[in-house]
Amino acid sequence: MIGHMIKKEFRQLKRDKRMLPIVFIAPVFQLLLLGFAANLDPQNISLLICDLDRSPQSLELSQEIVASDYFIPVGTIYNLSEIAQEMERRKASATMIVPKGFGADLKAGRSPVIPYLVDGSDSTTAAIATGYAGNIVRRYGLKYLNADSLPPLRVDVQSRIFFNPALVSRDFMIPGLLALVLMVITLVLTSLAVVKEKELGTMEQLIVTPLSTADIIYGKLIPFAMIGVLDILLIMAASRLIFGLEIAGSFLLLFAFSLLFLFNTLGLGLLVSTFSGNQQQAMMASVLFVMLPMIMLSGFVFPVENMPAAIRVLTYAMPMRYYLVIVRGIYLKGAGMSELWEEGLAMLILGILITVISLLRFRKRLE
Amino acid sequence: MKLELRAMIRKEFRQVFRDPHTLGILLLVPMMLLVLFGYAISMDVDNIVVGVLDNDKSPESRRITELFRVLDAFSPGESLLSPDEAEEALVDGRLNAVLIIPPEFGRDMEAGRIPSVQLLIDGSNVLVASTTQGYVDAMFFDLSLRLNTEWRVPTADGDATFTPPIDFRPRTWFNPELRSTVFLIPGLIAFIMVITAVLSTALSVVREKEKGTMEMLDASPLSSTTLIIGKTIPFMVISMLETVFILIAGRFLFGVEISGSISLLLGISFLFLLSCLGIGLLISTVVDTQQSAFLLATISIVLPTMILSGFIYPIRNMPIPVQAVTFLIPARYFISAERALMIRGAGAVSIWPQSVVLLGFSIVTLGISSLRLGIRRRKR
Repeated sequence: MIGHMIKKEFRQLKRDKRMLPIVFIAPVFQLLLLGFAANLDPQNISLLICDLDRSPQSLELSQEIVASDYFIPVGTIYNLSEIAQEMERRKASATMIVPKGFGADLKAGRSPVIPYLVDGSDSTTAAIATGYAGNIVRRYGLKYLNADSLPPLRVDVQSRIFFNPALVSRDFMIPGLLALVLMVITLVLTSLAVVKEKELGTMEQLIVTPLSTADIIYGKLIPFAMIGVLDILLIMAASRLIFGLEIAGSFLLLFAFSLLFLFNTLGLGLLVSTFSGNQQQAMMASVLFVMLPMIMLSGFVFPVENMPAAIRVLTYAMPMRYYLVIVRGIYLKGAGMSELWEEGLAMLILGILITVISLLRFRKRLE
Repeated sequence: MKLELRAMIRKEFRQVFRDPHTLGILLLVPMMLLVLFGYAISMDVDNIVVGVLDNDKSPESRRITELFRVLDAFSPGESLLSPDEAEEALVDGRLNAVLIIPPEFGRDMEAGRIPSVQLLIDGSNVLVASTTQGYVDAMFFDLSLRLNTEWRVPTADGDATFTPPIDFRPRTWFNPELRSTVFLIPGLIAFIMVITAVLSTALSVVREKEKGTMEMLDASPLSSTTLIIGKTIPFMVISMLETVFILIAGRFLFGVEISGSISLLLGISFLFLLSCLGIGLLISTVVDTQQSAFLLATISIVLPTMILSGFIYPIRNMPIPVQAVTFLIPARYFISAERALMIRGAGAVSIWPQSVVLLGFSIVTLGISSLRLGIRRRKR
């Protein structure tokens, strides 16, 4: 019986010629575009140097800064009054000023000041880049440390970065994109599915058939679940082939958790559908009340730990919050069941809760 | 002609008011979302948790552990007992980094050799990792300097003798406390505006197609341009109202003051909304069902606007082909104009290129929509 329902749904999907290509091409296209675009690494910071000293030391310091990977020199000026105008003209986001007498002061141990002006409108880049510039300048100063004739004492820090040694933001973003694209596609498909039959008046026809409520719902959801599963595999293959991102942990575990996530998003779509009177409302509700909150609050870009406590409580109700921890854990850290069982359990409970509520509401509406 | 347009607009308004749920959602929810997200999103990295694994337990190593305790940037981490425990804490995300002090640390320092410490960083969150690395580097740099002054040449007044060889003084323009909110709120405003504007029109034409009322409109003497204008105007009114609400909320709740001219901001908001409504209508004329309109709208608007508009990720960091794609995202122009007006207090001169592009966008999207409607009607 349910077989017929599934067949009907597939036929309906196929009839909409624009739908299927979008469902399968879009995820890969999105991954490609967004994977290359999502880059927070502070680099290519355009730096203007204002050298008022023109000493060997000022030249050397400028070279040290320029030699680092973070800055792109946009020029050197020798006049303080030109700074504002030149920063605007050369689109510099920072200026380092080497004051007059810098070389002499440095040699005499008089601790010269290096003012560094930075445009703070892009706060993240500004903060990190300022840190780097500071470290370069201070390290340079160490050479002139006036402590007897002994070589300067120091402590070496050897950093070792785990899980993502080159610190590529892309590797952090791609697992998140898997979650995001999956959520968007399945939510869009399911949230309109039920309400559409209602709007077009075909729901009555379904009800008078010998199909049970469960048959109708499963018949509606199974095709979308299958599309979801195909999308998971497609995105994983694309991350591997295009971005060379390998799964550090177990593929099977990741796949199992992805199915669990799918169970949640399909349920959410159904829930939205039962609350809405027409497709327009269903669309508004799923974007504004489900999609956007999950994108902004689940830790996809903005860390959950930074949020105020009241909002953090809200994030516990979002399946995506847990799924993000899981995909990133398995992809980057090779985490296993022992580290991730809590997230998995939370998703299972949420999924059951969402499905039960939407089934109850669906049944009520039918009566 | 004028009469027809007026009738069309009246019909559209009536349709909007007939569904008060949708109207309410369109007017109020965007503002609520701004408030919710505005408080939640931040990219400031604080609360870095660093654990220390002290294999030396000498006075020198204890001093370093102590230094970590007093730095504001770090949340007091725990003392760890074994390398296994350190690795476990990194895998399950309890610690962002672990500092390992080797057993010979104190001895090396006594002997005048350069002692080294190891810092293990969880690189899975790049932002946190690079900030941690920067802080720890700076901290050990200060420490090295102190070693040369206080520890080597002990003086009675301790810190007073401590002067760095170069005094590096950063000064920040426009956003002196480097609050990421100041940077993010303009982008968030644009993001919410785009979504509600595109969603409100994306279904408008296709719904008439799906319900079969399109035939009636086709049979009426209305031209396709009239149809498009009639569908745009009611949503323009609603979106402008909503924009004013959002700007007021941004001003009073997040203290994002508009340092430039308010009328300029409203003017460019109008152009931006017009291009968004145009995109919505274009989507609506291209597809056959509401479901695929919805899918196309989210796929082409929600994610690309979030990631390719410069809202979060700097466009200059993107590879050239992707940068080329960003030129197709209207929010890109609006966000840069908004930041210029709101943060830097720029004038009309610096936002005219953005205004021209947005106007072009509106003309092209609305034009193609009405052409497509025209083609459809001629086929009948």
